[in-house]
Amino acid sequence: MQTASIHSDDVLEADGSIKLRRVSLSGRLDMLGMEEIALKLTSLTAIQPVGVILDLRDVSFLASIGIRSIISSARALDKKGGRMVLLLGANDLVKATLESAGIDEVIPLFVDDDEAERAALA
Amino acid sequence: MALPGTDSVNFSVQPTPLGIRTSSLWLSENCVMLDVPSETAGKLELCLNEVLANLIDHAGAGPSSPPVQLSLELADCGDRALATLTICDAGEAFDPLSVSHGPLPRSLQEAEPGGLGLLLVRRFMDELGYERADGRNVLRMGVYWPKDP
Repeated sequence: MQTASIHSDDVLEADGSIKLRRVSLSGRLDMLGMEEIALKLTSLTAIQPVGVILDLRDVSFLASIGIRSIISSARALDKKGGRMVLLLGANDLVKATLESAGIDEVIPLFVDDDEAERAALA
Repeated sequence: MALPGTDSVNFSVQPTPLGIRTSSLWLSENCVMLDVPSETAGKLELCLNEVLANLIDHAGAGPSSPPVQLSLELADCGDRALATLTICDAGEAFDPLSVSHGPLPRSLQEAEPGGLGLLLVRRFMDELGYERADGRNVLRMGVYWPKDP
């Protein structure tokens, strides 16, 4: 059964500072999956004021332990003046899970990549 | 929709992170075999995951605990079908349905990272029932879907 993975890409300003960070998660974000990626997720989103797109389009399964990690990362980023948005694409079960937990009320969710980028940079 | 020669399919799993993963595989394979729609199967899988994770996080269940018994049953309910997943563990008596939830968060700072698992179970399942029987916690979770016309 598929497990979890994480990687990131940065969009840089002309001076080399980070303008936007895209953190992409994939696979199963259950207890085993989060053991594999939670520390890296925390470190990749613990950055200076910047927009972060957390790309969940390739997440096949999102459990509450994954939602907890997303909330913690978004809160830490918010306290530093940054902003996290979630990119879901057509991932309907993950969208339903986030909405059922009320996460759509506190972290913006986007289907479209361009809209997510605009919101993260706003 | 037909069960292959039996009224239910059963599985026994250790309450560990690997056991949760294994039980997900068991459930998803059986849902495919029993023609449970993927959306319904996804809800059941998530709720099974949350209940088992709750046993590990809050009831102290682990590798040396007695196995958790799982049972999946389908029922014909007229124009709907019902999938019921029963989760039976030998831990201390605990009724997860007795846990109340506060309102959903209105801001990121108000959002509590914990307590989401049982909230998701309540939201995704159509039927929930708990009983303590023979020294075991028995939780039944059911979800309906419309049958093809």
